[in-house]
Amino acid sequence: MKSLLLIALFYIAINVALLGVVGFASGLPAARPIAIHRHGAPPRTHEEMGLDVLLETVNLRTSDRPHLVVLGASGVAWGYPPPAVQARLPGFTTSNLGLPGATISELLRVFDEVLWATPPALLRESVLVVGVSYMMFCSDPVRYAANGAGRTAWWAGKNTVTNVDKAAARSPLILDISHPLRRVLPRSLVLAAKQRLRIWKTLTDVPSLHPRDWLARREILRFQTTAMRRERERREATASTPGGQSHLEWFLALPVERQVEYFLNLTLTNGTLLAQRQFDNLSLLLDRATSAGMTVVLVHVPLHSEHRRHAPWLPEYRAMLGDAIAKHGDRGRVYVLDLTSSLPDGAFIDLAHADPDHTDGWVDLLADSLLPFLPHQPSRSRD
Amino acid sequence: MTINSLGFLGFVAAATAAFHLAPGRWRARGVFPLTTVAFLGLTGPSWGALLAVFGFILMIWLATRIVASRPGRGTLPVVVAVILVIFGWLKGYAVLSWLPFAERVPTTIGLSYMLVRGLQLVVDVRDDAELRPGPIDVFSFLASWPCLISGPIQRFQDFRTQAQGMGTSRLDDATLLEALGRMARGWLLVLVCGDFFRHVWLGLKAIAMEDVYPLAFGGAQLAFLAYLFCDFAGYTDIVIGAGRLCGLRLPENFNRPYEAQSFLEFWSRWHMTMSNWFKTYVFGPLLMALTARWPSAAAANVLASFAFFVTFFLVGIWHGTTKAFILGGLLVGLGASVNQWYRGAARRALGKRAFDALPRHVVYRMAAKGLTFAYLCGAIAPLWMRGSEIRSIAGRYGLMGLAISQAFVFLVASPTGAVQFPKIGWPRSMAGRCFLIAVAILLIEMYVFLFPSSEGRFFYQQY
Repeated sequence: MKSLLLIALFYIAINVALLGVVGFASGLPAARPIAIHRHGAPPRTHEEMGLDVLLETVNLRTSDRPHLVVLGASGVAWGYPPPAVQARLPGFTTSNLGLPGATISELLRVFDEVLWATPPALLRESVLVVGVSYMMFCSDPVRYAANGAGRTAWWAGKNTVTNVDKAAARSPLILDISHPLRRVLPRSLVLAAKQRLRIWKTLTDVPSLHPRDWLARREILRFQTTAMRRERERREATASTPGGQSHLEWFLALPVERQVEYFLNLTLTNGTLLAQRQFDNLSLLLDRATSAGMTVVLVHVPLHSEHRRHAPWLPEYRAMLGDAIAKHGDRGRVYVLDLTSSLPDGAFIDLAHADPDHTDGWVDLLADSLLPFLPHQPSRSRD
Repeated sequence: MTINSLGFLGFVAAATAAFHLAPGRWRARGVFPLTTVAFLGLTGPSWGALLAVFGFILMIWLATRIVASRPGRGTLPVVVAVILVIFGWLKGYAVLSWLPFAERVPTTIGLSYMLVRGLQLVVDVRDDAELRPGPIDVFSFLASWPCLISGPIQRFQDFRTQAQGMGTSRLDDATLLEALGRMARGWLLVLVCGDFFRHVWLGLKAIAMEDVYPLAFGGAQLAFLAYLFCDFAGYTDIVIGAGRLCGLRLPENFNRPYEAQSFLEFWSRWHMTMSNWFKTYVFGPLLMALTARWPSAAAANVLASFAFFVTFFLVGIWHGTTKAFILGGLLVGLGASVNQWYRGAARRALGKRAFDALPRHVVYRMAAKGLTFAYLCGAIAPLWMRGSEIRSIAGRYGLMGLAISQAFVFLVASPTGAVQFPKIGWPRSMAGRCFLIAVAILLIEMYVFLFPSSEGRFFYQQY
């Protein structure tokens, strides 16, 4: 049909013109070290960070040196800024793909993206650092309950939706690695399509900037008559709960035991925290990484001393993790680093996360500890 | 599968290909019903729901047979009453919860629309001795896949005429562009404009519920109306386009409702197929019966106002039978009857010519439009507020807060009475049309990527 052909031609032409205009006006997105979490950046949702993973991994396709890819949850995302790690380990291009709130399932999902984006020859020289803590081994349906009942994509065959899955649903054909059509598309075409989406994303550099958010900030919408204002002030004066306290401030004001309890209550399923499936997923991840020729370093991320003391699951977790690693056949290229108790409590902002002003200690500890496992890399000391 | 998904696009492509590749004589009674079965399977929430839908359609067909074989005056009311009770039972209406298995009836899809189409068929079978549809005709008509989810409500006679023409239907460039153009415009309305207003509505609603913020509450009402229009008009565009690919010309459902200058005019421009249905099968017979009982000319306006009240009240509770919908039905009914009463009284007082000349005055147009939308937005608020929220808003805002909210709606709506909205038509050239479709596709793709929405279904789908 002539009309279908014309529509397709116009679609391509408008795309090219639009990309040219946006690219010319704002510049192409830079191929900088990948950091999903950035201190001081505007707050973003987990789904938006998942989208960053899916789009930014295109930068892994080229590098003049091997990659050092760091995977993990918020402990990793906050603790190891890629520029700082790269300054200590200059022989690698460092990428921190740590996603706050990630379980091992989500890490596996992210790693599949890494495997897809990185050329095999580069993978064989690269190193994968997997930062783990016991909280990442909880059940997916509990952790991702806020994402709803799940997508109904016929190819997915699953009901739980990680934040990366949710982000992939924005453009499944290009972003969902499990989509059957994407599997048959040429890799170069998918890479180009992802670049197109990266350019589009520059249109909303401030995340979540829907016009609604702009509108919601207009004070005129909160107009009140004098009587209404007085009534509100009277109610606020008699209210029992203090206002103006952020969730983080409220959380940090809790006793340590309550903070640990809070974490656990978020993730307990049938009275237990640890899900066997996550350990199986870890085995799978190690298999895939070593099959691709990567060196893998499994890092127990640092925890605050009070956290270690009050977390009831640590011994069971250690035993199950040991089993998962033991199941893995090719142990020659999998190393385990235990940094759980290697940092002073002052390096933490809470029970599990790096104080943004003390990430140097986190980076130094990781870089120094990694050195024995890195095949041919000089270290640059911080002086 | 939802109509907003790529899966639906795939379904339409497959159904269109099957339809046009099949020999002409197989299309209306073979391919079309089969694609309808496939659509039901893909969109139905469960096997139980499909069974319920098939059972309901079978019941309607049996009802047409009964009414055709016993066309006496007493048959139709009994048959309609039975259909309504079974419909209410399948919809899980609380007033029928005493019926057996009421709590185990599965959630169905498109049943309210099948009901109105089915009732029309049953009534017309009684009045037209030549109308004797077979079971496949009834199935194709009631479950017709392009209008299964939320209409538009087509008359059986129109559907039958078009089905007879399916055998000779051809898919040329002109038809394809017409269909794709409607579908692209529909998705643009739903996924971009509708979603935009949905975000604004929900954001303003959240602010309005925080405390007493009348402007936010008024803004939420306006944003909801804009969202509902984009969502429903967009849906209608999509299914009209999809139907066109299979030789169906579905009736239009909207005629620029934002130009309405009275409450009754609004409903003659909004969801027109349903308004026409209620006009034909409820308002007309009711007014005739009332006039026959009280034939005085002096009472005509009061009777018409009462008939409007009943009709619009039924329109309200057709959406649902919770207290919120009953309140909505009462408000909409009240608005329609007051509007009718004013129309009659003003015409009598001013004379027909002077009354008809009123809309020529810009101040009158602005006031009429402001009043129409201020009342309308308040009357349909029960569609988006739960009973507890309505009580909370009424309690906290009080008369003053609510009056300021509606005054805000009035102030926003009334200036539009002074302007004439331009009619933007499709370009005549093929290249121009193709260009606009390509632009629409790109805009949809960009918006959905940048502002993903968790809402996959149409607002009206719930009814």
